[in-house]
Amino acid sequence: MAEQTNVATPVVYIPDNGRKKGSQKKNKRIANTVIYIVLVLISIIWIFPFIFIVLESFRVDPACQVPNPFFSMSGKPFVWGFDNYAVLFTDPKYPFGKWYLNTFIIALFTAILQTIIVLCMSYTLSRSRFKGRKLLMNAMLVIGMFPGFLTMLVLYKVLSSMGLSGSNSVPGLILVYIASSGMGYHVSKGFFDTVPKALDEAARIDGANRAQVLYKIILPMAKPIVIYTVLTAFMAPWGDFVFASILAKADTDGYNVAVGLYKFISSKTTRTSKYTTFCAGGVLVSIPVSILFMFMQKYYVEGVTGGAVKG
Amino acid sequence: MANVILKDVKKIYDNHVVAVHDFNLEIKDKEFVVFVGPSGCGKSTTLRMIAGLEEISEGTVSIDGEIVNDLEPKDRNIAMVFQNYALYPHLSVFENMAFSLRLKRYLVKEPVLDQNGKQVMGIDNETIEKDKKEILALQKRAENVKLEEPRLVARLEKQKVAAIKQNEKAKTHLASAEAKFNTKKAKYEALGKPLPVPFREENVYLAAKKRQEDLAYEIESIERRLGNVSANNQKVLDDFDEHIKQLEADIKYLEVTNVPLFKTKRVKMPEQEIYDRVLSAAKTLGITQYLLRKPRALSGGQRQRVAIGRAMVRDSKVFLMDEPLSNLDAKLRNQMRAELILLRQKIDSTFVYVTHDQTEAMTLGDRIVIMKDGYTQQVGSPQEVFDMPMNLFVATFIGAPQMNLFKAELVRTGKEYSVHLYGKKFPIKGRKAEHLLELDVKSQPITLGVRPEHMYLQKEKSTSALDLKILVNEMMGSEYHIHAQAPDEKQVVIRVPSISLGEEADAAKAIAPGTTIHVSFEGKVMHLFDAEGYNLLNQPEVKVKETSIEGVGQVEIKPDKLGRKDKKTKKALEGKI
Repeated sequence: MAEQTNVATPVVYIPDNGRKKGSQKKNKRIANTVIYIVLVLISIIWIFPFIFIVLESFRVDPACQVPNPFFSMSGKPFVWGFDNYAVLFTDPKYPFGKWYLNTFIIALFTAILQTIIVLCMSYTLSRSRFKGRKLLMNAMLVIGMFPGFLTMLVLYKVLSSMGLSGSNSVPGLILVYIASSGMGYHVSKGFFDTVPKALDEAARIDGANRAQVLYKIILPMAKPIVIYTVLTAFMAPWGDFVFASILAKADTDGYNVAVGLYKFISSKTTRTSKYTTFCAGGVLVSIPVSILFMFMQKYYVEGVTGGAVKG
Repeated sequence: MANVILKDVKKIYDNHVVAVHDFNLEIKDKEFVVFVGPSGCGKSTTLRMIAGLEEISEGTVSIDGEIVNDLEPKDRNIAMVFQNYALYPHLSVFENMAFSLRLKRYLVKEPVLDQNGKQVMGIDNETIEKDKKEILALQKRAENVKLEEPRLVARLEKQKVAAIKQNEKAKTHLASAEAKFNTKKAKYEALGKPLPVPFREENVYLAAKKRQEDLAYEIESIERRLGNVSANNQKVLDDFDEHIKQLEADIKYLEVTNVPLFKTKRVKMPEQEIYDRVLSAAKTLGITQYLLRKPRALSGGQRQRVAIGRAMVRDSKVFLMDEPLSNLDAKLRNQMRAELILLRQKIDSTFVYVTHDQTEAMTLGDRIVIMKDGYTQQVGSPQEVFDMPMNLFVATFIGAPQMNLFKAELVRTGKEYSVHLYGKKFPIKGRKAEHLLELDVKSQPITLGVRPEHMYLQKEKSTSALDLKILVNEMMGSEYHIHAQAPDEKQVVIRVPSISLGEEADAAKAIAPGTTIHVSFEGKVMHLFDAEGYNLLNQPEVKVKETSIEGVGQVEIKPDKLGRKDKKTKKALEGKI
């Protein structure tokens, strides 16, 4: 008996789930409600500026001092119409059509060339092993950390000495955008890395050379990533302001839409009188990008690798 | 349709790891050769070198008499089936199979016809031009060979100097490692403590030893190649000369003779031909109903069939298969194995097959190449390697459950041989004894190998039966695998047919764990290996270096840096593990 008192009762650990067990269904419903409330709030905040701008673009009341589509300061009711859009394409001081075309040409060429460069680069880095490969990748990573604006002045000097500034800035901008595009290989290389190498080897034995492997086997499988690359390559020059403004300087022929739109609101006088026109321009700019995304977004989701290897 | 000859093929990776050492093999036309070995033995690397997916560091591979070292995979006319099938997921089964046919261009010779539809005769300028071009190309190649010779010699000399330098370094490293190992060992022995496992110094020492041996071997092989350079080149040049002479004679003949004219055209394969070929392959494999499906909608076995079909449509000279069945489940694998045997009779091509599964190797191969650590251990028919394994590795690798090995004594008294094991005596008689006498084998300590299926139970204790204590018995249906323990605690496996044990109840009683059984075997099924692990009766011509069963001389692995939690755990567990 005396011995027994010396021996401590062993501790037993009983798993405790922490809180009262509710039904799974109920818990899920509560969680979902909270999540949806938060999401709705976020989307209202997010979508408000868009609605604001669209409404403003249809307002024919340039005298209004405060940009506000909902309330008229003068007490007069608003007049709605397409006047702002008409002004965009008729006012010779602001050749919006020209800017639009400029931007479209820049974005199109950049999208095509950059996609080709990025895909070739990614495929090479993913599949070939050559001396200095690691060094190259590291160097590009480090260089990529410096903001591109650092080189702005140098680039301007170089391009203007080549006569690619001012009204000629469209080819100059294309050059600027595609010049370092190979450095954006990370995403597509990551995707190519997931495509089994055995597929390359099988194709090479079947009689394909490296280029054929890329465009007959890898690219069809990597459709989502190709489209992603095209979209990003199109988007960047479409909305770029800094380089475009530096390169075009005061020559309105060389403007792209971002710089052009800024011209509407850059001076004190136009800031109020042209405000609604500016909004109309903004709506027009967003149309092609929205359309692109609407048609292409389904490829983001599509996974085509399934079935390549036993699964 | 073609023979494949591998001559002194060697693979050295960029990190100086030698994956394949001097691989020599001649694969005959229409032969089915299986490379088998544990993972990392270089079998897949060798196959990939034949395919052209892996660069050949040294030596030559020739297919159908042509050296293919520098040819792209697509130009070698080979077909390959991959372990994970490697089907193109975005293409249907039909397109997968037709892929190579659609890519390739074919040369077609068409007769030149006049208005009446009769073939035109004349001087065949096209062929003459072609031959002239070929002569020029050959002359250029010969020149290159001549130019290359001093460069090759210089390169080899440089390699040799580097290797010798490395060897010196390795030697000093080895000496220091050995000294460290010995002092540490002496320290432990002086303290009377057992040697720790793993013993770091020992591993370092063994690794250093292996590295030094490898380097010595490397130097030797470089020297051998240096000696052969000029002779090899002369042979190549002579071949070129002969070829050129023949072409010149052809040109002379063609320049003065009227021959029927043809013009060659480079064409795609017509669609109809593609349909026919794919369909006939699909019919052979029984996958016609899946032709329009995507690979992801197929089961593993069906995908494997498609992969084989893709290789079949091409009429390749050589069929390479890299573990094609290892991704299938056991039942399907057996089925596909049988189908492969049938298929092989239909295709009638040269096969090279890689597997780690000895059953596949035994059932499929005409000849088996057993490899380990980049060295060929034995080449022979399934029967040969099963009956006469050259060394302990082959003996234990082939056959399942694996062969039982005992430390025993071979005793020769006059002209009689017997094996002494655990105080029992097993006489060797007949053909085996004659063979031993022929070779004049002396009494010596040996490793005795007996396959589990060659052991049988005896009712009574006797001088030629081992007394073993049963540990476990595994019921396999038609047979029992009995795991028993020898007097020195060595585990022995015996395969006993269920039927020989009588009724179920009797059987259960007879081989219940804990009972002692008396196990015997005939002299003719004994495999005798000398102290080095080579078969006494079937010594290899060249003894390969690595024959140990356990992996010795592995490179030391640096322990991972411990995290915060691991350090805490280490502290808590100190002294307990």
